[in-house]
Amino acid sequence: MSKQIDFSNFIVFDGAMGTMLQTYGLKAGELPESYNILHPEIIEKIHGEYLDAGADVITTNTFGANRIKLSKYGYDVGEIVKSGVKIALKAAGKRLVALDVGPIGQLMKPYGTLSFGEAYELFREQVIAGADAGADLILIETMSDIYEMKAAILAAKENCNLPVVATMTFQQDKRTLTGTDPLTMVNVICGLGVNALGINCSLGPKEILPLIEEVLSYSKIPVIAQPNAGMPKIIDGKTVFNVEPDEFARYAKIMAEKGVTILGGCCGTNPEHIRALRHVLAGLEPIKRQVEPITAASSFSKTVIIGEGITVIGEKLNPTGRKHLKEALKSNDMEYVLRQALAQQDAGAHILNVNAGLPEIDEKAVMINIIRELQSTVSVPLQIDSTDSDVIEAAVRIYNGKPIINSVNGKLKVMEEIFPIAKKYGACVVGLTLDENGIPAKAKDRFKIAENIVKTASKYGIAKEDLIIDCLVIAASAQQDEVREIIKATRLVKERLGVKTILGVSNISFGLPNRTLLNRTFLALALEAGLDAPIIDPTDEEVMGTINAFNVLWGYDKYANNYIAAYAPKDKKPAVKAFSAADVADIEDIIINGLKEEAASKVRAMLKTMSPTQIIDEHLVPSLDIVGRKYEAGEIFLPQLIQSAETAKRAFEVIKHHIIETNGGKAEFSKGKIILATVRGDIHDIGKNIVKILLENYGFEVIDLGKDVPEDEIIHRIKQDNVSLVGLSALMTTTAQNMAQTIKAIREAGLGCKIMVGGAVVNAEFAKSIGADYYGRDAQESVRIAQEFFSPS
Amino acid sequence: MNIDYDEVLHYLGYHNNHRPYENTGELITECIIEIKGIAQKQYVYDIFDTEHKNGKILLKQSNVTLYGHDIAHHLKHSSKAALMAVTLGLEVDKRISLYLRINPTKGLILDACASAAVEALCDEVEGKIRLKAASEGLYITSRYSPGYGDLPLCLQGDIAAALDTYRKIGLAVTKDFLLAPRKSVIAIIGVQQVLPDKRGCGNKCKLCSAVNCQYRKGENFFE
Repeated sequence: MSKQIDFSNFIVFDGAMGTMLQTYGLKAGELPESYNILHPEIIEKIHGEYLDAGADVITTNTFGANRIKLSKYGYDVGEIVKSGVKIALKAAGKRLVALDVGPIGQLMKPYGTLSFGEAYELFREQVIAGADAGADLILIETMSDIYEMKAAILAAKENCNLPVVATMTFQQDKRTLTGTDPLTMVNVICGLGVNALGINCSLGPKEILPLIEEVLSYSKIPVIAQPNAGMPKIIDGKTVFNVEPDEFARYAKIMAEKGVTILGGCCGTNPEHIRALRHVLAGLEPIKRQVEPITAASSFSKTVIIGEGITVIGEKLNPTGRKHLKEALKSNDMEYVLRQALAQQDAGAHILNVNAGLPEIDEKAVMINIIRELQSTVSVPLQIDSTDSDVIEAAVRIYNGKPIINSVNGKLKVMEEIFPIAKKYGACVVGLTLDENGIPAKAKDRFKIAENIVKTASKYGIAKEDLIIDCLVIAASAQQDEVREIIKATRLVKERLGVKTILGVSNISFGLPNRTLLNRTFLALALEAGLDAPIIDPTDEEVMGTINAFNVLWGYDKYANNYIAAYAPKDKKPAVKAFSAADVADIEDIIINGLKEEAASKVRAMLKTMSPTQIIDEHLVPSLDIVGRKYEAGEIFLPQLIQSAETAKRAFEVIKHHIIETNGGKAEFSKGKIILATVRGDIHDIGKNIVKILLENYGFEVIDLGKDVPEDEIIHRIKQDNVSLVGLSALMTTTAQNMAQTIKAIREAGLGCKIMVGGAVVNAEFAKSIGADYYGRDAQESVRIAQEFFSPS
Repeated sequence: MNIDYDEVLHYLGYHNNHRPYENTGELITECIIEIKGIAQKQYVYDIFDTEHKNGKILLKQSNVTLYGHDIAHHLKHSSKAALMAVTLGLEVDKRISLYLRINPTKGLILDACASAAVEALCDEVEGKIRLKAASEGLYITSRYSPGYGDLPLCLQGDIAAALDTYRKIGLAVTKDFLLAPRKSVIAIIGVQQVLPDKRGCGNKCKLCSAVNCQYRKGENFFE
């Protein structure tokens, strides 16, 4: 039976375990957790010293007790965790035992090999073992990656009922190693429903102080600080910490006076630091903090506070009414999706709305795919737009940050489905002012629905600041009388409910010419009425211009600095170019010289007099052949080869869009389908990506499975897409072995496809020895292999 | 951190004094600046006493044992060995990966710049170790990494654990002994009383098992 914890009072945690173990003889690289088995008396002694020093909570010696780390040393999670908890319980008596959960020690995908799901499973195993053994709370600490933190918190919350305390470690640049700032940490972690959060390790108490102040100003829950004993310094090649107990305690006191209620130490601290800390807390009372609530969405690295200025939500990732996006989603063309996302971010979108609702596709799978793709490339937070609660839950769960859910409405059934998801994952929610009776015509009725949504949300424990109300824009061409009601309703909601507001602005102009004019005029009216977050096309400069102007007129853009930067006349420097369009008469020159910017306009002009096939067969492919020959002759090098390939790609894209526009259908000119994958365990994919670019240029349809791809996924796709040529890449000697296993698995699955291989450690002999059919020395060679394979001469 | 333009060209495969086209050249200069801006240079090193035993080298005060004929040769005069780990951080990987998607030429060049940058960072750390050794009247050998010669790649994991690289600099070693972030290096440097056989680093590429590496240096590169 675990003991109760009083989070309303000061709680003193212990100090470092690792530092103490080193003084007891732990060698560099030795597994600290092995002492639970080999020297339990030392662990018990350390716990005892911290308890004597006045710690209320001692932390088990299980920081790295996850399966990946332990298996290298031949230990089992259950035995290490259970022994760790047992030793601590024995020492603690009536005081508390925190199960220590540290990072897995691997980077998360796509830059490392650890998936969110695997991280969750690894943490789950630790949590279950720790809770079973009788720990009183879970301390998830020293996390650098907020995504890994999310996996750990979910694992803790879903697999035991113990309180959870979560801390992250920051660098001198005030971010974690993976780029999370303190506000983002608070916004994401608070939402996940932990009992306390804060900062540990990182830096010394002095350096942590400003970070902790930021945490205190946003966190609605108790805040914990466990600094190192000073900034780590390397002296004689050894890491040393040099803040003495008195100084440590002095800073602890300042933190307590500012509102921190849970204190302890990390690297370099010892029982004397904790004794001094306990001593300074003796005369203090915990501070009651007042925290100003904010409505905010976060990516892993950026938090957007809605209501501070105008928040632009990009509307373009929605296939409704967008032919090219529809095609892209159907053919899983993530490049296109990514480009749309980046274009909106670059144009000034603060948040991107993401919708994958197409009847022909698996919405859940596509949504997850898009989110994974976007959260590793764009920095702005995402708004997940779906009517299917399954899709929403799947997306919100794997999202790396605090998203906005778009949306609930006044229908009871919808709220019952969506609010529990929003609460569990701590997402903001958009509430649409419609209900079982449809969209009311009058503002006061829309307001009533909004009021009901806010009231119902609070029953689920969702605070008002996590709601954003959408009073629903209807086309002026259809319901002209209602336009004023939308504006009125928005004003009412903002003023009377004190809730933030959002509107899908572009709907206003549906069915009318010069849509931009209507959009920006309506936008100006709505902004004046209190619209916080317009959903618009941020790449429309005129609509964005209205926001820029409004920000000046409403005082959001102080001294009109941004406005001036955007619109003041600039000294135009003449563009310096090695070649210009005027110099190059034909597409051949454009491709051979890699003039990316010129390719599209040239091809557009050519399409007026020539057919797509004619352009491809008579101009593009022959140009690429020339480039390929020059590369092989050593006249040009890889950057130029790729530059030419990119240029040709732009030309191909124009042709593809031309076909979609004119035929209304899919552009189909595939010379053959090829799967490309970097094998399991390998995270180096530059070579594979180069091969892909070249193959696509020569008209092959490449199914790019990415990097670190397990055998079964490759086999599944070979079968699913009926693929007859597969290209595998590996960089290191170790992963080259995985390549061999992949080939073996493909053969054993009885698939008749041919396999080409390449990579830094691969040569012809090795390729042959592992049963590959072809060896691609370089990217150009892989093109030749593909050509020979699909149309043997 | 000094990133050498010609070194980048070399990583991009230029040889025989070929120069890039003007637009490529400009891109290389741009990328060198960009890498300097985004690199989160981090390093950690530690120096251990060595014990040569049955052809193996034990690093005292740690649980690292180096084995293999080539490292034994490299450290044959070394009474101490420094273990070092450096990384340019995750942002570099992210940026390269982003450019490979939206502007592959730039991605390729940025990758080469990052390779040059991580070498430059290694040189800086090696310099610190050299200074430290010199203060005790000792010399250092060139850097030697797991994967060179017959020194097994799996030692990357042992060395990373001994230096606590994940916690200290965010450097992880994967199950297959790859380093993540990608632009990272783990290396061993001998510390000894005699000058090493050959000053400088020699052609490390000759030692490397990546026989088809795009960056593999030719026989004459250092001459």
